[in-house]
Amino acid sequence: MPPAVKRQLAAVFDMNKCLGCQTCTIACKTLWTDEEGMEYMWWNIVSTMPGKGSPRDWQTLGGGFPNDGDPDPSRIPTVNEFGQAWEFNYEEVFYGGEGTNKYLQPKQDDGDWGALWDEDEATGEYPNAYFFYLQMICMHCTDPACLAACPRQAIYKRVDDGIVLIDQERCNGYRFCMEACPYKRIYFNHNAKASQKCILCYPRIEQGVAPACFRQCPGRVRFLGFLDDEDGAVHKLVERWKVALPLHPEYGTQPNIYYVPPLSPPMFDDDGEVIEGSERVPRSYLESLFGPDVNRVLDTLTAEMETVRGGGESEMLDTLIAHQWKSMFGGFTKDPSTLKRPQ
Amino acid sequence: MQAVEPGGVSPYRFLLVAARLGSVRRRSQDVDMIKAQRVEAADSALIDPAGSEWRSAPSTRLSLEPTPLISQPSAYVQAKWETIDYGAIGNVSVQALHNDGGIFFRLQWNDATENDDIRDTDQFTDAAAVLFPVKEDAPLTSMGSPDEPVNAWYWRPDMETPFSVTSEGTSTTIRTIDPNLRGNGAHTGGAWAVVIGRALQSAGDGYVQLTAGEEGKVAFAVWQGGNDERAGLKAVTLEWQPLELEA
Repeated sequence: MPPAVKRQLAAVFDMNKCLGCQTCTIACKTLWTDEEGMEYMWWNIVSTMPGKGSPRDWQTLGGGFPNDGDPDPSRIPTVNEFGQAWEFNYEEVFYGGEGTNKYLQPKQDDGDWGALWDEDEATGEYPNAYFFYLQMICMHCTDPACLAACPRQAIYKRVDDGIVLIDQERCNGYRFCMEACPYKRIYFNHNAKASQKCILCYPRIEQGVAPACFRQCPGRVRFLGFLDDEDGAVHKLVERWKVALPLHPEYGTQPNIYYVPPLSPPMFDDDGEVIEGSERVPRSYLESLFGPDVNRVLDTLTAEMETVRGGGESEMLDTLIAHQWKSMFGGFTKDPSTLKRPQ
Repeated sequence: MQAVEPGGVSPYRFLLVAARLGSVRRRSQDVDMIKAQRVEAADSALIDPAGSEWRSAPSTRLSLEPTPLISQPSAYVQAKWETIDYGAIGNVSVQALHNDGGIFFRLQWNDATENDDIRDTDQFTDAAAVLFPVKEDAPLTSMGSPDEPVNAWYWRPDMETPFSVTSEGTSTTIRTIDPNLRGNGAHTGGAWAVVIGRALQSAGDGYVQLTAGEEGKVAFAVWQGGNDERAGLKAVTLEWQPLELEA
């Protein structure tokens, strides 16, 4: 039985607008995970797809409730699979007088993987290679597998907004949540010996401010709002127009981050001519991420764009374009600099 | 790692036997009196697992059993561990001494792998715990109940001091720091020797109070970190053992 909530905060990430700049990633890092024991954590990360993601190959690890609500046994990703936080030889190169004969490199063995190891690596052959970005945070699921797996009831879903949090006082660091989360968005803090993850910037939310990764996104990728707020962009995109989809709905946890799937550029033939009506990103691949519904969504978006190109109007596209940034955040638009910082 | 040896007693079978016997307490290999002899020795000598006082202290070898899978308080844990053996440590040798001020338990068990720290996200440490009923009839299998709590002294090699754990039933454990609680462990020759000790009396919500010359009950648990054992995945004495503190 999923925990009951009064309202659910949700998000829409428009993958078509993402630049892959990782400003969201750094916004989160500097705000929440810059302390000792958290070095390797990326509560927010933008992966290049098709790719292995972060942690490496997380989509193959299991977890969630893929079979009629039964929990699917999984395992805990290692630090190397998440990607170690390397330290670099800055002193040597920049200050040690060795700048002309030493190059910048990790101090430790970098192994064969890092958090963004396959960033911007395309799939396919030139000129028809392709990739796109997948923005990942905790999905704040309606039926969180992490919450169900914890033997201590240390994980809870807030009744007023559906944000999923790990109570750091109750957490004993058993890490069953890290196994059970099918999106593998939970990390282990080696100093605190406790599990930690994205908190959807709940202290900001409580003061009417959108999370840091939303607010600092230069591409206006991220929409926020209560799912039942009929005037909000999130409700319109998810419920009314149904052009935003959950990632891997088959995992069975009912995630509350929704994605506008990526449209494709056309393919070129051997003569370098555009193949009309072709799409570089295979639909089958997108179906593997978002389910068969992705076809309807991409067709809807394409048709809507045709309408606008023909001189028509589209409230849906205007919403996605987000001419005014304040239209994106479901009322969570307060300026954080006007708020008193907690001591 | 098969925890139940061939011909051994499975936890289910044991519970069945215990149920048949009702409240009649058997004096058998399953229930052994743990006698805490009174010695004239400093705390600093008793907290050392290699200390000389332990050489002559009586030792009781207790067999341990995995906690029943059905008592694991999460469907995920049950699904994952349905096909994996846990409770890998089959027995523990227990000694107890007190010096009228503090009581010390020395636990020794064979463990070829020393898991003394969490070096990666998927690693777990070895651990041991001594458990007491705070009220006499506190149930052991459920780690106490709201009316009859239990108190554990939980030692781990990666922590400076043991935790005092109070529990009023499954999933309710609370860890606290008890300044009167100490622990010391060493892994040598393929075995852990761990001493967990505390003042007989220690003020704290839900802490057990012990008195020289009186009897009580005690239970033990050991976790094999190399087998990813943590939380309820452990090897335990399935029954309380009587404890006697020499006057």
